Amino acid sequence: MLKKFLVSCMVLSMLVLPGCGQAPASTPTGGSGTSSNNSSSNSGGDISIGILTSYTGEMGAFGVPVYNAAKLAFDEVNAEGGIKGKKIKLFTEDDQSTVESGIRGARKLITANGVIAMHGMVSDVLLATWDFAKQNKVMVTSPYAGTTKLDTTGGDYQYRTVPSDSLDGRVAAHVLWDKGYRKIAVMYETAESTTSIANAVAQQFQQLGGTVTIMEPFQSRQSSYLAELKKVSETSPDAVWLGSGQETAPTVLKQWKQRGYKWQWMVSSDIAVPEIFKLVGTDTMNGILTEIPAGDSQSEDYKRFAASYKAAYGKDPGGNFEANSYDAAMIMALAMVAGGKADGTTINENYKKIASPPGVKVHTFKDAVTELKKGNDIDYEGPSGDVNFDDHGTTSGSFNALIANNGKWEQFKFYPASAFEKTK
Amino acid sequence: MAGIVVLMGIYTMLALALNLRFGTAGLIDLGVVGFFAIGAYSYVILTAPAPGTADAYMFGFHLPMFIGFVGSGLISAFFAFLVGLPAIRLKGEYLAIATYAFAEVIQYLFTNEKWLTNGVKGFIGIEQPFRKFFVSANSYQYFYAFLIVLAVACFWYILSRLERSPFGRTLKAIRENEDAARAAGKDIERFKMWAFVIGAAIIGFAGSFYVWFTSLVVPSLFVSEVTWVAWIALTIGGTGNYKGMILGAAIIVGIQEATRFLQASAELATILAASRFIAMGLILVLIIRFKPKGILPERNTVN
Repeated sequence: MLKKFLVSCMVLSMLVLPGCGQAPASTPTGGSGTSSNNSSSNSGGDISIGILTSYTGEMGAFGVPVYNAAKLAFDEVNAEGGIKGKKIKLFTEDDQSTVESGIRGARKLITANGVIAMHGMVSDVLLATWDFAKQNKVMVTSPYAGTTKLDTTGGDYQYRTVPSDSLDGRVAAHVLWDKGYRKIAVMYETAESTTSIANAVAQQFQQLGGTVTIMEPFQSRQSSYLAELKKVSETSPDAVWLGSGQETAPTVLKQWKQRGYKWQWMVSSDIAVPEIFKLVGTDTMNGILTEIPAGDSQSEDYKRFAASYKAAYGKDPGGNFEANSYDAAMIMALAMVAGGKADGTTINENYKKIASPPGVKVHTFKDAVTELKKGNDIDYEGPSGDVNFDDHGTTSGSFNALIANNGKWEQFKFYPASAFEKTK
Repeated sequence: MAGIVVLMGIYTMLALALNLRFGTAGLIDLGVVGFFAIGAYSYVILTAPAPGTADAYMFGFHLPMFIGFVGSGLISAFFAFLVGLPAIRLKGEYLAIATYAFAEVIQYLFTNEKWLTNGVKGFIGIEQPFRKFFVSANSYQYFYAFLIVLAVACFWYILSRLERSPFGRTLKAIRENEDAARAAGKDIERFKMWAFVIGAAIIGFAGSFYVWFTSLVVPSLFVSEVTWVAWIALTIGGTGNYKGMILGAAIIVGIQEATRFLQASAELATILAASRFIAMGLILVLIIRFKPKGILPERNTVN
């Protein structure tokens, strides 16, 4: 019996050994993370960067646009000759909007593809992969991870080109208030980010002097939300803020329409993707408000970005954090240029410096490189705004207030970053 | 690669436990993920530091890892006992419904009882065992994979011993013919309960291992998909055969991971993500059609 046990133990460890054997082959040098990163940058080949994002699941609509926007930035960098003659090469993984798949994807990108940075994670996945990435000296950035948990802990091998959820909620409350609503209800899915935004909305709205009639949490992906809607309608609010995702929100909105409720909706930015019109119906969506963390869509930077995005992919950007993703990628490239090396540590050290004041304001990769060659400090500004980072790697962030109009989100008000700095 | 072995190992543990419950004792259990969640949360609550100002949870006992690990199994087993008190007498599909409901309730409970679980925020930054002895995260993951393999070997050894013991034979007798077993003087409820509780303990331990792997715990980790993966591993590997569980989990996690090494572009990634589910479904259909007892069927012990 014992013999059999020992034999099976051996068989099992054999299963692991090929894994150990393969590791040095798959990472450039194997062994510790630091050395593998250094060698990948010195061995003359490409610079590997990973896009770990959601192609499927609750956040599935974001994947392709986030990848495309980042690719657009890196393509521009490569067209200018890359970084010290080396081209940026992208690897991508689907996190299926779940933590487990996110970790699997991150491990594959880091150990098998030897990436020096990863971009595109949603909040939960970012938090779950950050530590492993940091230990391997791999930088992680996100265009939309708003979790309040990073407010006081982020900034080391981790940056985000999006403001915190606490600010997001504050803006939503302001938009509703500015539109003249004084009595609102808050409905939210019991997920981390929607819960924290919902709390911020309610708190800020009350501070402004308004009334919150009810805070109604609900579970995601149910077949019916009639009970929740009824509860909300009984408090007769003028407007309702809805925090949810792309799989759940359509059910809520359709059932709202079916029952003939009349209140004004304002939805969270996760719902405000272009695909939502197909899922819910253009009629139902008409007049619904949202706000998204983004730059002024009237700015020169944004117009230029939108034009090249359309030229490359045949679609207008908007609603999928494309500009935020573009800027995150561009800053990543510039950080490498500024530091003169292509590894995670260099990106981490220079990420904040090249995008925040003081420095000469630059808007394109070409200009930035010219200024850096002259020995000047730079302050990059892009389509998503001025992208200045605080000490914990979060941008101050400007916001667009949007309204749904015949199948499109249209900007009706722009809130620059400065509008909210005082209220902090 | 090491990460894949870790996941294979964790799903093997779930499949092993499920095999004891279903393969040997014939209990149709759709509540695997419930005990998995209880194990994971027990570990975290026992070892978590006292709550900070931003946290909603009330208990963080900050006990050593070892106690957390043992606790995860024991607490999971205890809850299995509580569930088993009313449920173990249920026959076949009725038990399946009861256990499935239990797992759903657990997920809702962990989402909403903030004082216990910190709600949807969960716990992040969970320490891993023996981590401080390793400089780089990369070499640590091979050690962790080895630890998992060792644990799987232990569980496999214990369970295969159990299977051949009088206890295991009685369970099989109950599975084959409950009335005959009762006529032979066996207290079948007691035996079923033991199978149920031991299975829960192993699933609870697997919960601890899972927490170390993910380094965070949030309720959204514990969806019913975990249960289905364990069942598919069981079906592919061969119901009633403990070696089959290792094979089954290896195949199912292997398929999921294999598709990761094919893709290059974002367009392809979306298609490949969908192909993962198709591949899993296809394998399952093929197995049920051509080898309905699994790749490694249960050996016939009566000659």
